[in-house]
Amino acid sequence: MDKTGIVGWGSYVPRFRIKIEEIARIWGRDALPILEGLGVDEKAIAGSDEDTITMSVEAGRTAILRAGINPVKISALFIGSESHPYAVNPSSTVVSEALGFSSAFGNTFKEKTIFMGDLEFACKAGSAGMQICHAFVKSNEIEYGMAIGADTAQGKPGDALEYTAGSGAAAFILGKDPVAELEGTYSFGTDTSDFWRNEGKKYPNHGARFTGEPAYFKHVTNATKGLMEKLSLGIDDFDKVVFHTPNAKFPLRAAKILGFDASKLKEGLVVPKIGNTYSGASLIGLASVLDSAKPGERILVTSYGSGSGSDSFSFMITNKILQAQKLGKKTIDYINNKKYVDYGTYVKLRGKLLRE
Amino acid sequence: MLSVPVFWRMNKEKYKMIGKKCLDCGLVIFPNRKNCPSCDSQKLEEFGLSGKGKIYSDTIIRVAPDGFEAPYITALIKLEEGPMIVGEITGVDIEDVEKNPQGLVDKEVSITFRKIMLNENGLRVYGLKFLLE
Ligand SMILES: [Zn+2]
Repeated sequence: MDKTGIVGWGSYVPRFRIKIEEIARIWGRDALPILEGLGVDEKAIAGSDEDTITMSVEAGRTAILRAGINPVKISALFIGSESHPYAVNPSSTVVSEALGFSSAFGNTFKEKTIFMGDLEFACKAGSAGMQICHAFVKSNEIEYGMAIGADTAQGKPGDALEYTAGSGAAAFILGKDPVAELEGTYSFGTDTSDFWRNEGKKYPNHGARFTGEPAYFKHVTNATKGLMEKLSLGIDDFDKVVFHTPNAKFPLRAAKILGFDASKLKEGLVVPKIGNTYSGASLIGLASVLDSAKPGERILVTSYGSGSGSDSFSFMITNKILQAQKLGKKTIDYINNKKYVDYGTYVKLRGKLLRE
Repeated sequence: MLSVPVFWRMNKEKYKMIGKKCLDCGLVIFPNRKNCPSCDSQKLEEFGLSGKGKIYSDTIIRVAPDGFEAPYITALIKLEEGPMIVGEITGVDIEDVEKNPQGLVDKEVSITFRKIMLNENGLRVYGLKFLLE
């Protein structure tokens, strides 16, 4: 059986940043306990001409470059997001067209089959897309499929979520002869409403402290344990670990509960500099790990989506990654390319979105 | 204002920078035309441009047409393959451009996928803008 897994990856983080201190200043809050409580210094904000669709295209272009394949060979696209720009009108069709999946170059109207879908499952919709693409590839239904997690997350002004809700995207192409073999995946979900947004409402509601124990920790740890049991792997078998990042503290505590050393989370823990990118979060973490991973390393990724569920994955890095790592912009390049804005500009950027 | 169907027909040019190449004289043509502007040949084939170029001249637009948000920077861009096109520059700060009497002239640029405008029906129009290298 041929190995299957990730053949190309790419991330995108917009360049605008707002410091947590600036948000605290506006609401008359003492910044220090907030900074200490969240472990987040600043968050990334999409520009007025950016959204889930545009960030998906940029991340997808890097993934195609690293995979070194003709995009017309990609026959599935699943985009997970809580901020698809339209309530009705898919993101995936625009992204597929922009990335050149739909019509073969030189054959303007040659149609082909593309399995597409805009997925929603709070912050784990992108990882669900990876599972779908992987199943398509393994069953030989398609040669390549792309899964994207992207969000321009927003918190209600003055709400606790406003300190962390950030913007970003990551894209992965699944196929044979991978840079990171997908060894196995496991999912765990229960009806646990810790975070929700009603139809037509701009901002979400959440169960405040309820989001911790019965929601995030229960699902992240159960999915991870389930994966390790399924694959007969233990904590020492993993070199790098990525957990969903509502903030920087939760993933570290999940690691502690499971027995992972905090140092294994380092490469994937981008949340202090870009905030919680929701559907993008665990996937940008994985992209950041892949940017510098070495052949033979095993990587654990566990996403989390409110409502609630977690998808856990085990990846084994192959020799193929070395060539791909030389191409395209790395996650750290995006993180370092930044322009700070004040709260007024932040509201203006967001206000433009509101007007739509 | 261009209608929804017109925008849809232009997706290839707007999203991917696919132009034409003249099979008789080799000229790269973008945006698309039916005849080669140099030798008038109709033997043209599709050609993917690199999306890289250099700014020839730029200006700050302060009064925007409906659906666009001023201020923004519009530039004449000389593409690597030859054609000169008009494009919007994103990812730069207007204040920085204002300070420099040379503007952005001679800066290297490459394409990026962005929201271009919101049409009167509330439909987002996406397409290519340019980022400084
Ligand atoms: Zn000609």
